[in-house]
Amino acid sequence: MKIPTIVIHSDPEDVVATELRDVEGVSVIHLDELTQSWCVQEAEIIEPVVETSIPNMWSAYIINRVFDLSCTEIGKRLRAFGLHENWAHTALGSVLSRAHALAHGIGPRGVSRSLLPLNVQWKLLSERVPGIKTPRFAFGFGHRMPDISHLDKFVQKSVWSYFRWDGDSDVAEGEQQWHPFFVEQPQGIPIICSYHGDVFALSFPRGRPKADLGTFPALIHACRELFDSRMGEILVYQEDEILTFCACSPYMAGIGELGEREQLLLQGVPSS
Amino acid sequence: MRTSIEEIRRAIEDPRRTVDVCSVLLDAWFEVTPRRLGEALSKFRAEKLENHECVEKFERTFKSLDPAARRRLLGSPWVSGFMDDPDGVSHEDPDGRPVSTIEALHLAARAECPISPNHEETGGLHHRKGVESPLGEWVVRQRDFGFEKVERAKVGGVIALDVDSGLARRNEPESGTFCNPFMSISPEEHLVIQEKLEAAMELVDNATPHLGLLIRIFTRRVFVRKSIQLGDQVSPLNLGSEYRPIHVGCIRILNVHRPEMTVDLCAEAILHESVHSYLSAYEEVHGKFMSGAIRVRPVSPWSGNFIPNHSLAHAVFVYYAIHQLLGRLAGFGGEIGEEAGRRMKRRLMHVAGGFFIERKISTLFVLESPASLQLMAVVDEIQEEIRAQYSPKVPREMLESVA
Repeated sequence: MKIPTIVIHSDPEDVVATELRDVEGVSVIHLDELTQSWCVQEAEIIEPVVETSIPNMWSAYIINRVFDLSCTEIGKRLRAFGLHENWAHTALGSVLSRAHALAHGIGPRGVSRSLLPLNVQWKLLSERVPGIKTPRFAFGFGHRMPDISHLDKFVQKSVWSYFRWDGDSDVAEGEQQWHPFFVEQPQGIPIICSYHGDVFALSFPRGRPKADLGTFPALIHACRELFDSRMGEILVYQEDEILTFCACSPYMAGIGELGEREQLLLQGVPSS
Repeated sequence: MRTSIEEIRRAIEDPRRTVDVCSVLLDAWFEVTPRRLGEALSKFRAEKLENHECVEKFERTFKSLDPAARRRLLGSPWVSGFMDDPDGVSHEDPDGRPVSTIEALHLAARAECPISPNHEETGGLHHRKGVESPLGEWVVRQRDFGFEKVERAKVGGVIALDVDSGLARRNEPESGTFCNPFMSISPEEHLVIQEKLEAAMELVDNATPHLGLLIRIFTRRVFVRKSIQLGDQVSPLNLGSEYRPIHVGCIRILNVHRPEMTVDLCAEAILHESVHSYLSAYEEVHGKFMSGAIRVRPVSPWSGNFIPNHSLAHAVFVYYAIHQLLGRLAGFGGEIGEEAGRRMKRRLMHVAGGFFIERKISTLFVLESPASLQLMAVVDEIQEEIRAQYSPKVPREMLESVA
């Protein structure tokens, strides 16, 4: 029997929240609902007061999709008092501490293991999974441009953008000149592996290569552990027999395209 | 004698340990530095025939110095500047001509020689290159009547305030402070800067006297760089500070003349950079904390910025010290003024916030080879210690990794 599941999301248009909103046994809460009674004061620790209307977290499976506070009410209140964002994540962590399991790590990007920069993902994964390739890259320091002479067919990318590989369109204002990041475009055919728990589905945005399905469980296992994500999308490119790991994303941006999305999201819920 | 990384932490936290740890470390540093300078000079001499003469001239001068003068020279930025870049340029002389690091080192040694700066031969040298004491406490300036030895102002009794030397004017594109073009500081602004830094040291001395001592042991000169005028718009980048081991014992602070650079911010900046100097001294003696490679970098839990692994290790100790200072100051209540008190509480919560992450800080490092277990243990102990201070309000349960 699957255990009660609660989705907590910070993006009003979150794809997983949208998909599971009307599903029995699943509660969906926006972060602003959860945090509306939280006591936020200047130079004080946030007290996470939880209203009785909020579903009980005790022993539930929480799909915590709080990836960015900037557009949330709690984010605005933090900024008004000059409070560090970590205090909100700490308060959230204390609320979620009674849960049976969480889908993701807690914390801002770069600190939460679910939201690591691309080059850190590549380093960690290539150390864990033998034989897998990762893209070659160059990473500048501050305003200093890196040496890109060793790169072939490269693009400037955002180090935070997991799934966009079509040139420089994902480079945010300010990132162009600040810690500039250049990556060789991976060769071969892209494969997206969407997973939740042990369940996974593959999709092929540019045609189907002869994929060896046997390699994916080990890759999923590594991503779950390294990136603290029970749910995610892995982008790899296959060329001949070699896989190039490009990213593991918690955003599930491609789930809307996936026919078996609801089964994937529900079957991956842990059993009691 | 060996200083452990645990002792480095204890000296920041326990006033009873500060003197012992700092003096043992400084003595060890003064044992290591002449050896390293000797090695750097030998290597430099072996590179080119024309290097022989300048090394020999320097060594002759060095041998004529008494032990105290040698110590002043060894603790100066001229030695570290030469070792960092033996073939490089130290700074520009008053006429805008580049002075090489070996030449600057020799000039600093000459400045310690027991002859008057007005001596004919030395005076000529001073005239051409400008001469100042190795630690920057005095400088020889040309006047109508000849040369005059001018004492620089001191902060906290011992730290030379330098706003105009060749080093203080350096342009360094990769630096956060010296990338800004040099602007000259008026006598009125100099007075404001001096009073503010003096008040900042008093603040540290009153709140955490042991950290005031640590500052005085590891900081010998403060460069103040003006990069914006009083009427210019100010951004947080204009209120920065920096420590670069290439200029040992010298800290850099930007735009102290501006009202936004408050006394409490100056106190934080002085302590921040002095702890870097303290940690660098430890690394000089016992080896680097970790590689300075920057290809893959962790994210600072304080700023969200990409920083080298090595800087993250430093940051933990730096914010540990600043948390002590701000914690005491915030407890002073009305004594420091309501507005300053509010500011410091905000800063205190920001500094503490960096320690409040789901992960142990030791797991943030992204290294090619494993870091020292002792260092990682101390980093995590510091995090736990800070967290424990807030524990009555924050539930202690840590979530287990569930993936």
